[in-house]
Amino acid sequence: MQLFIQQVVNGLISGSSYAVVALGYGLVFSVMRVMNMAHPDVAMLGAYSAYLVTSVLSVTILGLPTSLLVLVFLGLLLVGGITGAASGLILERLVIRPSLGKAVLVSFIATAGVGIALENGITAIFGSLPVQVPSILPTWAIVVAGIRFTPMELATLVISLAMMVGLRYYVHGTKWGLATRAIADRSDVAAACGVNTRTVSMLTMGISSAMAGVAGVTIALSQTQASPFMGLALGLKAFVCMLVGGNRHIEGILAIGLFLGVAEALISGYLSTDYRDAAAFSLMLVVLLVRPNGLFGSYPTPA
Amino acid sequence: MIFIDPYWNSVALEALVTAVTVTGLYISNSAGSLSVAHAALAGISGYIAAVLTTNFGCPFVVAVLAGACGAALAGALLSLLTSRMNLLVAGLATLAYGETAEVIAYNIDYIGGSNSFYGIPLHTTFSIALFSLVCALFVAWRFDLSRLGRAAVAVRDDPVAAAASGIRIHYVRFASFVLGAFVAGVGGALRVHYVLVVNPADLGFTFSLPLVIMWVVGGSYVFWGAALAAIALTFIPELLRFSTDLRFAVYGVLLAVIILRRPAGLIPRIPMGAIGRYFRRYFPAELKPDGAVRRAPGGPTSLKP
Amino acid sequence: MTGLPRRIKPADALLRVTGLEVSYGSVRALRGIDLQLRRSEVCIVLGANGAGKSTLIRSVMGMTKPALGSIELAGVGDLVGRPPHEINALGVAWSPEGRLVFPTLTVEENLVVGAFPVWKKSIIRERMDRVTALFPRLQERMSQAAGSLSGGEQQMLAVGRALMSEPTVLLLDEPSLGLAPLVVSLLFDQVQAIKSAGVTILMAEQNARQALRIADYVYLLTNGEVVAHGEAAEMEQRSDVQEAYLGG
Repeated sequence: MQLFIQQVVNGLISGSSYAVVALGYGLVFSVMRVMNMAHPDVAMLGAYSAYLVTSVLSVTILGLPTSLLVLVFLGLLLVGGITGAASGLILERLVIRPSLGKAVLVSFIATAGVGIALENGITAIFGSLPVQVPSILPTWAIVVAGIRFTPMELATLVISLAMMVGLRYYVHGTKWGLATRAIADRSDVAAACGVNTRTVSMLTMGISSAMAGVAGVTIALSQTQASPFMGLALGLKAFVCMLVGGNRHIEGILAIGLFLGVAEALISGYLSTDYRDAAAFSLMLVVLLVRPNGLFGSYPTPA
Repeated sequence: MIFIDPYWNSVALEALVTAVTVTGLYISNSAGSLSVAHAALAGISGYIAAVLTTNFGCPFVVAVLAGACGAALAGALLSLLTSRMNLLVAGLATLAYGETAEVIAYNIDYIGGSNSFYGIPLHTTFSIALFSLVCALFVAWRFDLSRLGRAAVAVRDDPVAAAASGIRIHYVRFASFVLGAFVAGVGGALRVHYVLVVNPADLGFTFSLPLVIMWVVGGSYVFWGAALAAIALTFIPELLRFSTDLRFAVYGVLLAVIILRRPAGLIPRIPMGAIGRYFRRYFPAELKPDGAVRRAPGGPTSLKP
Repeated sequence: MTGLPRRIKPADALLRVTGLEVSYGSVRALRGIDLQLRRSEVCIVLGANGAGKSTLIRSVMGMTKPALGSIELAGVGDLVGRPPHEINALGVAWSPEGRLVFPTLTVEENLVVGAFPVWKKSIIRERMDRVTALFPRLQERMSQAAGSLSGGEQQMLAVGRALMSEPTVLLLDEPSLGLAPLVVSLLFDQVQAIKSAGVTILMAEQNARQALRIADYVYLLTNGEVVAHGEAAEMEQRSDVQEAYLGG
């Protein structure tokens, strides 16, 4: 029983990261009909920004009291978010905007190309081996009712959930969020109602990329390392979450992400880690067989 | 052997074999499907052929054909699984299929699991690869001109109209897909017999994506386009050899630029000049009688710029 | 282009389309269209399916880029080449063919989007009240998802949404499509009310009988060309119109 709950908790934590990245894919796709395969690499850039900041401040960090460390932590999140947003906006301008209105495959391949370029560019600059990132937050484990987790893991979960709540509020409670939903429904009609689609596209890319950047920082701090190809596995699984959860339904994607995380954790805990990765893909195949349009959302009719 | 330098020979070999696989992808995608699982299909064929030649001393040709049949079966299964899905979703489901195949391969110890299967005898020579590519291109060419091939294009361009004209869409998609899987399987079997190792990772998305990219860049509607792109895109990273990492970065950027500037592929839809006249004479299927080109309506898998 | 262009006093002219040519690939959808709109009138563009009515409407809204020609709005200039949201800000609003409400948004949200450039809640509320006064059914359905409304209600919503931007020109694309005759009749009554409020209406329609009832001026479109135009009363009497659109 102990093991079960522990694995569920672990799963929820990793699943929340999947969900955050998956939302980025889904949001951008539903608004712009563009599949941004460089999204997980934006998260990787966020992770490397954390690496850069901590390596510059390295000596000073060691001696700081916990309260200041928390401030550093928040600062890193901010830097990650800004890095992500900036990368996303550049990506939007250079690669995504030219592929608007064209077949999805165009953006898929163009962003995949950029992703490859980013991964290898980072490798050229920092090397292909993982770089060390200090954990910042204290590493002693908290034990509650026999369940162990570290402050970092808790922080990851809290931050991911906070971002998703924030996103939901943005999409459903603000005017620009309304515009986003209108464009996702029918972009041409929305434009005729006075909605500036370019502004919404930039906002959407900026927000989703900022979220990815923050997710990258939390992952780097949790694993105390960053590597150029860290986005790949995460990206693939997040992609699956987006497909299964339907590309627009925030709660749906969150639920799927958490479910996937938990399923993986249980499988690696009870069976073996070898089968863990299969969980995601088998899940996806099964769901798509039964519900070809995803569980919650629907795929828009071809443009 | 075409090049003096053995390094370039191996690059050429790789290019030819990849071209065979990508031609298979071209055939499979003719009816509008989008498969990101062809590396897995080729890989399955590779494993089968490798086991046959290494463990059972099977003659090379038999092993290749057996592997290709295995790939065809795997492709048939995939096609059946995705037949009900909306094309975009189906394409992404093929991704899942390929990844699942990879994980399964990791767990089968008989073929080496994560330790790879090695000790494969070297059978693929430059001439064999070239000959296979010629055969593959021949198959693709005849396919395009056949009833099945024309039906496939109709299904891809306008499924509703095709169904209304009495074409059995599911059958056409299935048959095209399986034929393409067979050809891709040949490529896969050839490949393992010069690389001499098969890894489960060879089945994954990381290897299927480049195939799709080559198919797109080559223009997805000329039977030799995919092969040409495969050869070009295999040589380009090698030519950019100034630094191992940076060359892939440049490759990535190049890729993005190519697809953005020429979404329909590097080969223009209506070829001009002498090549164009030749094209129109021998491949009238691509052009309507009044000279207008049959254009696919916009959609996730069509590449109308 | 048949006959003489329409003559309107410059002070009354609101919209002037000159020599509009639109092609979809190799298909020419509109050839040399000349059209003039008079202030505060209901102008109908009549034509069969595929005649080019929607293309014309979409071109005015900036959704389709013409190969040639100009679309001049009084006091503003040429609309060609401007993005749709800019055209909307200049006073043109659109109720698309097929309604095209935002299905996942509520009725209220649909209306708010209609007045998107407006941020002041009080103004939005004011406009919304005016729309619901015109279409009381919408008031009942305010928090319902627009996709669940009936065809007639969706059409009301589409028109109401367009009205939220307080346009000078209201473009209606086949509002009667798929609606029962009684519903169409009620809808067209409201169109007249909108006209009385000072809005100029350009309406594309196949349903001639009901449309001619409220029309001031009519253009006849066939195969992308204007084949005839005139005051509604005279157009109704013409034998070709009688045969083609009014059943003999």
